[in-house]
Amino acid sequence: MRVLVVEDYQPLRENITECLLEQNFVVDTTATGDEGLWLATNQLYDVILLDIMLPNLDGLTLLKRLRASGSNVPAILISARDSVEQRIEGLETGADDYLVKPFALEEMLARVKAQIRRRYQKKSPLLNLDDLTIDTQKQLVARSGEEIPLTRKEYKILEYLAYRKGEVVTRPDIWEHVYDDQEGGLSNTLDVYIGYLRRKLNTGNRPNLIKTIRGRGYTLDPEIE
Amino acid sequence: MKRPSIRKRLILWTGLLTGFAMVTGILILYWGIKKSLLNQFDEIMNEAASLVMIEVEVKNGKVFHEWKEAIKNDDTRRESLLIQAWDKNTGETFKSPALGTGSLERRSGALNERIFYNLTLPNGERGRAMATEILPTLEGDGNKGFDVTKHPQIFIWADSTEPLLRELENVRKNLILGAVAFLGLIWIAIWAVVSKSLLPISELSREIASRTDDHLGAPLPIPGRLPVEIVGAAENFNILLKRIEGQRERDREFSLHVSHELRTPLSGIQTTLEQCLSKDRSGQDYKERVRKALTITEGLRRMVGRLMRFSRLSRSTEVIAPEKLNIRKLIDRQCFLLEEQIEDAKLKIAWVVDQTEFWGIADRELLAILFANLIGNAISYSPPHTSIHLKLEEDEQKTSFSISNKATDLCKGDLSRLFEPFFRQAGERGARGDHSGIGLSLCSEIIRVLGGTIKANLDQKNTITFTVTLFKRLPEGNSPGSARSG
Repeated sequence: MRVLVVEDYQPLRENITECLLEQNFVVDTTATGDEGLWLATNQLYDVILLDIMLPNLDGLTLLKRLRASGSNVPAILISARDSVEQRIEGLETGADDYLVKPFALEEMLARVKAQIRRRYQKKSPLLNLDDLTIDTQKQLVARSGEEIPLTRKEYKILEYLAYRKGEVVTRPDIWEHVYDDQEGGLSNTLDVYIGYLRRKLNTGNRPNLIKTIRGRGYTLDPEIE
Repeated sequence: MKRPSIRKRLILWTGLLTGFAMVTGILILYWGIKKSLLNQFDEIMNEAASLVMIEVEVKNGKVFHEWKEAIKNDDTRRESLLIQAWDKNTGETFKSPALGTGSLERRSGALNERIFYNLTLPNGERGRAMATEILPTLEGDGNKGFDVTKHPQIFIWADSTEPLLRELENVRKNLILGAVAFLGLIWIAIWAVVSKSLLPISELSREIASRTDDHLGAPLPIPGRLPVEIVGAAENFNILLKRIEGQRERDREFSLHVSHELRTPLSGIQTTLEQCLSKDRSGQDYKERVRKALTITEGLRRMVGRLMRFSRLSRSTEVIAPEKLNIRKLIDRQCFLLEEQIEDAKLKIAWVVDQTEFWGIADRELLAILFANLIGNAISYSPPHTSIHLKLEEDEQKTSFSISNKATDLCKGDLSRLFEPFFRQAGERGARGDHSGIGLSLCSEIIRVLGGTIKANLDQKNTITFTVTLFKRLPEGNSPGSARSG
């Protein structure tokens, strides 16, 4: 899952980023409003964490312009403004949630995850698919109750496919949500990881859950043979 | 304190003045009527008396009062006419029967001159009389050689004025009753008009009183029927409200900024410590994170200090200690303290003057903050490998200090906002060093307290110059060691 953090205060930005990275999120950061708007309109994000008082372009204006451009990416405002009127103003501008500074990183994480669940219409942090269970809270994967150890990258890919269960997810789409820009990688890197995942998930002759849709991408769907 | 009431004043004074005007008018009218009736009475009396007076005749060399005989034979006249005459030479008197045993007071004017006067008649009634001195008329041929001028007669005609005066009393009574009724009506009308005229003021007052806290600054609706005399006051009140609202907005903005500036580093500390404890780390990693938290805490401490100073200066509670200072020396000292930053930024400090002594009277600590902020600002915003030019000038009244540097990311439009609290040039917080955003506001407040001026100017070559002028005499009220009064 890719998160954009727009915060001008360096220590806070770094801590949020570090926390999100530790939770296997892909994170882009910027300190200015104009750059934040550029990133938000040119990249697919699952959540945007947005400070209000920013240099060059304030967070509320950024959000207004983003919504005006048709984007419905979930946005969580992080601000020192704590009055009810200010929260209402933020939410009415198009924010999906409002976090008042100072806040606990755990709370921020929970809100980010809640926004992602809402975005993919999942009510529980447990994603179930046939006998496959993904605990997005603990980042654990199990099949028929048996835990399957995955690398960070494998987990990220599986979690994203699970959020979009039943949909055909293109390679660029997976790339944008799972990979850092700096990571680079070859065009068949994703196929290699999918191969690893299948091997780990299908042990013991269990049915294959990740299907390749030729020329389009992948889908996580037990119904398709 | 008892406040004057427009309503009471208008009703009282308009009523009194109207009453006074009306009473005066009624009195004039009454006296006019009375005078006219009495004149008419006197005229009738004079005409009647003239007809009788010709009946004082000289017959055969003797004066006869023929009127007496005529009255005696006329029943009506006998009982009503009050006439008395005297022969001025002999003192013999002649009376009409109606006088009975009573008598009229003897008085007269010059010959043929009529005098009219009030008197009490023998029967006790109020009356009026006409007195005159006449000469008898010669009647027949037997009066040859009779000199009438030697036989003047005093003639007095009196008549009762009781019916006339009673009529006048009725007129007076009616006039008083009418005046009281009219005055009452006038007073009610004035009360109604005044009350109606003042009603919009009451409505305006109710509108002001009913304002809730969240609508305090909204302009008052000025009703179309508000009297023109009050409209000016209401409009001025609205202008005042607008100014107050502007100030409140600035205060709100300031509070928001303060909240942001304090809560954001707090978030920094909290999240740094949370991340520190989020998993097991090496001792070095722990140390670095705790150091990072301490750095943020130090920044927060400085910010709180600056805000407290700014607050004291703006609220006029800062204690100042003016003394005679060598301003050049003070600036050099600040440059020395910032030497490392100047070197790191690859900048040069260049004095435009060689003179080493410029004296002024100011508070040493405040002036040090002022110069540190201005020089620190110039260091942070100057591009590398440029110079910061310092200049001092003085005359008998003032000392001026200018600091110029190349400005990046600054446009002319920003100049007016430079001294606003938390106004920052475009750029990342902290990217320009440890700038709280209130440095120039602090400078502006310090200069205000010291009674000087501070100006910013941006020239065509994008060189920004801040000029501080300090007067050699402190403004009144800034006595050494005392809290500055507002």
